Amino acid sequence: MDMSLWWESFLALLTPEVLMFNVLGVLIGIVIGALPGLSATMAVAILTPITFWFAPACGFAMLIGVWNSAIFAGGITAVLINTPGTPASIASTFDGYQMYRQGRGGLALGINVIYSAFGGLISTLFLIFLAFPIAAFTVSFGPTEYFMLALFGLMMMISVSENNVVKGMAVGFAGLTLSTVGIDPILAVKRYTMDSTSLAAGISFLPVMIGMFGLGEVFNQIYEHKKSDEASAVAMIKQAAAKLGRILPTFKEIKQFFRPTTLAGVESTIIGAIPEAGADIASIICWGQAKKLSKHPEEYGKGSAEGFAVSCTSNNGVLGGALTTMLTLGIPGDAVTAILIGSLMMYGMQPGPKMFTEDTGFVMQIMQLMILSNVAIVIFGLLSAKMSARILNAKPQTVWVGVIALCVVGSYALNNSFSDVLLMAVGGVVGFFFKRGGFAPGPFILGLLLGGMLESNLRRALVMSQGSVSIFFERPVTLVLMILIVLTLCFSLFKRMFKRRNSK
Amino acid sequence: MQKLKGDPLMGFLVVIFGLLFFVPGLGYGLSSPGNLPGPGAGFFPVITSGLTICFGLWIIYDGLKKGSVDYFGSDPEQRANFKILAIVCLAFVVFLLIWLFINFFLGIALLSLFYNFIFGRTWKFNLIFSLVLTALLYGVFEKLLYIQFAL
Repeated sequence: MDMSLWWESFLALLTPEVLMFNVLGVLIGIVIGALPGLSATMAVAILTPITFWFAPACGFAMLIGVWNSAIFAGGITAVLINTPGTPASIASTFDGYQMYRQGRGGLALGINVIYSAFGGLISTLFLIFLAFPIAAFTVSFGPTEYFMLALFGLMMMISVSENNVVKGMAVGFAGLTLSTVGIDPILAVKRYTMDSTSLAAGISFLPVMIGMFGLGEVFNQIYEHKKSDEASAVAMIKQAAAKLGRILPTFKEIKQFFRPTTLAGVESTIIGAIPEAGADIASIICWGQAKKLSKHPEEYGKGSAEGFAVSCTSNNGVLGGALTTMLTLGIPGDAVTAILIGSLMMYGMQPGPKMFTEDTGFVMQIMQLMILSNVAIVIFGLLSAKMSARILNAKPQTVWVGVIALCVVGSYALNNSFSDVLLMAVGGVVGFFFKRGGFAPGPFILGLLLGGMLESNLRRALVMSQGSVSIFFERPVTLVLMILIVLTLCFSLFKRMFKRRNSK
Repeated sequence: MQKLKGDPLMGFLVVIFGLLFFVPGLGYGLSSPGNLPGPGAGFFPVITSGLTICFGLWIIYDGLKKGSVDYFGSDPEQRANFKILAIVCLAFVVFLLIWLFINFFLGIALLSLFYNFIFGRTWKFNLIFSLVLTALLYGVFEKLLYIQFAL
């Protein structure tokens, strides 16, 4: 690795604008992550088109900041009201809420900040050291390998299908089908355009995504809102903010946590790099593993500070792993990285090995932004630890109005297009019905996003082989990827079995 | 008579969606025209829409055989929210019309006032919130980012 390039790209980041957008992103992420019902995915989805108007470094400074901090802030509600703010914080409820009940809520909030950032930093180090060699290996990939990579990404449809794989696959293939609207990538034939020029450019996935994850979620929350539950929630939040105690762990505690949290950081990075896995499963696996290796396993689940530190580390530990897969192979590791791929495309960059040769400086900056974001999380997270309890006071109705307005502006800002706003609104209504019927919107978005890459590479490969499918079995890397896809499918089945067994 | 549950209906809509792409897809050609090698423009959409139809049929079958998810539950408090949701959607359409024919910021201010009103917020909060939201959107997006909301 050329150190002078790293230094140059780092110096280019140290401008007041980039730092300001990064801190702003971290602060927005803290608020969004701490509000139950609002996810990191929703935050990144709504902010992506807005950041398009900034310089790439500023835009990504904000998005990376939001992503990292929203995941960590999901632990705030896990500690204070036993509700994970994001799915990644599920394991944080095991010990975090118990710590709060034992009068150590402040310490739990402090551990959440410090160890989430610690996990993020460990995984970023892996990203820095592994991404370039992986990209160098994949730079010779042709259409068959890219097709397999896109297929690999589509395997995510299963993992983001939530509880019903058939419904997930149905909407996933619907998304893939919708991605064929526009001009055919090989023969330049107009398909399903109804002679409309805006349809000839294809269906933009961002307005659809904003509608499904933003507006659809708000519609669903309006429908599910119960006034009878509001009073008890307010009482719980007031009680939560009352007594928190000290925030910082002692030196002895830090020493005690070092080994299990470092191990959790490494484990979660590896899990995060697997496209099928997510932060929720990573934190549960790491927590279970740490419990087995701990000197005090009996304390786990009963307010163990060590167990809580491990789950916080693994929350954010997966992010570097997911980013490694996204940057080197162009495969989304989770819903947020799928959106980040879209953001990079907006800036005219294609995640994958080529990005490492064509936009080396920017790849380095993304990695450095991960470090800056984690540093900002420590500073602002600790400063606002006690105040963060107050975020929970925000009424959902206030959030709904704000999110609706941002959905409108976000979908319009991308192309100054009113039809994108209409597309977003349709996406919102469809997203609402998806939610009610247990159809996860993730596979639909994934299909829409990966459809172009899948089709163009499949057809290029078939043109090269004069229509013979044997080309997919002749190239060794393609074969290896095919085996990996099969293994991923098996892993998915194993994951489902693991979840089912845990829920019993 | 048993009420029609959501899943078969959603499955049916998925099948219709698939058919809307499948039939024209066949017309685009499954193989390339003339002597060109490789598949045609209809090849990929026919496969994906065909699979969409298959999974749509599977949803219908599952819904009829195993029973459907109850889309809107039976909680009376939640059912009453339907009215609010319908009003929210209607107000959104009116906002789009105001934006289209008059002005975006007037539309967003009225939308915020109306939403806060139907969500039962106090007038004082409502006025301050709507004013701050509109001013923020105007300042950040129109003045700072130069996004033109005039259509």
